[in-house]
Amino acid sequence: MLRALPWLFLLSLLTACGNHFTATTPPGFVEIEENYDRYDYRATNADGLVIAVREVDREGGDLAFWARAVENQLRDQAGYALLGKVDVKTKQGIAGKQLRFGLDHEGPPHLYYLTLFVVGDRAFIHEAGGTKELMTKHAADVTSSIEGLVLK
Amino acid sequence: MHLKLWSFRFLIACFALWLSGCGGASYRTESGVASAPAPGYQAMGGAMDMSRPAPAMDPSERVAEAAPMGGGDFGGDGERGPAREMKASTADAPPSPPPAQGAPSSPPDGKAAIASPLLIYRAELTMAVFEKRATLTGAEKLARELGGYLVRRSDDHIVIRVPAAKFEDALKQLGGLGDLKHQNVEVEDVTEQFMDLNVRIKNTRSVLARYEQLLAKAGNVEESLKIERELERVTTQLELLEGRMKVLRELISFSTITLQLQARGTEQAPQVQLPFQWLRELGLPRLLSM
Repeated sequence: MLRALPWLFLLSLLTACGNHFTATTPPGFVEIEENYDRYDYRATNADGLVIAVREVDREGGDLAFWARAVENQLRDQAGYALLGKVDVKTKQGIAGKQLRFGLDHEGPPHLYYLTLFVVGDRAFIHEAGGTKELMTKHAADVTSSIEGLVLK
Repeated sequence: MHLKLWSFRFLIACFALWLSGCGGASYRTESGVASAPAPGYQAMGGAMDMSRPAPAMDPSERVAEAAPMGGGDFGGDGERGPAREMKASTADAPPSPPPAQGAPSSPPDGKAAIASPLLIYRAELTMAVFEKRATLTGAEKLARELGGYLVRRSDDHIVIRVPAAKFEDALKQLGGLGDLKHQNVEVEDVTEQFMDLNVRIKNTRSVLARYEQLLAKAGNVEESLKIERELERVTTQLELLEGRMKVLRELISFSTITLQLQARGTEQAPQVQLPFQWLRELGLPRLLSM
């Protein structure tokens, strides 16, 4: 029994380091296994619409705090246009806030939807972005990806 | 006793004269906008009632009272700011037409009773928008729908003019075209300027009329030439003044709105950066880079 303790300790550490969410890859999308950068999950479809999830320590901030912080960051620092704010809910019943941004590059216009959830000590950020055409075409996939998130 | 009675009768007579002088003095303005008074003008059946004294306060105070707002504080609640002033004077007035020829003349002393200040409204909006071209087209369309017009348009900015009565409405609707980042509203009180110009035009016209009379009575060619030269000079002066008056009326009747569009943040002023690294890592470039 004593010999098993180090293994149990290691196992608990590994569990603690893992993600506190499960993301479902929508049909037509492929999960990108490598080069996650700072994302905990990222997937793309063949046309280049990308969805991603990351989790961070919520540092005591609630959903309203993080929604405001994200809005300020993207509007004032990065020049994104805020197109709207939408209340969302996962199938689990966890409420979140979606901020919809637009970016008018030199090329085609892009949409960037950022959805926030706060559960326990963690904040979860779901990002979806691509050209306006792609985002419009695959709006259902983006929605199902958000609703399908399982947050622990 | 007899002397006292006469003094009393004299006072009564003076008072009666004063009353008739006050009540009977009703003048038309020279603004030529009697059918659609310029903002701030209190039209009374097409005539200006001189029995109402002009507000005895500093123009800047009148502006402050009429439009209590700071640069960014101008809200759209319909109870504050210029709209309130507009509602008081030209709530449903159509865009003021250009001054008609032979418009009603100003009172003999060239002064008109201004019930409320004559104000020029200007607004500058900065917006982060999605699809700049569509936003510019939307702003131009809005100006036309409100009875205004396009002044100029480039790739990322547009200047439109809307009837003063629709100023607040225009700001509200423009704010819905994108993500409003800055809004600056300025109000300029031009009451004194307007009245001064009015007096100068009237006086110049009088001078012109006198020269024309003199020309008709001129005894020789040399005298005629001298008077004609003066006539030409005074006519030019009058045209300049009338031009300025026309511009002023236009600025009062139509408010100018400048819309600056930006796709990316360009602020130079230092901004608060929250100490959360992941916030700075948000954005499409990182998300889309594989």
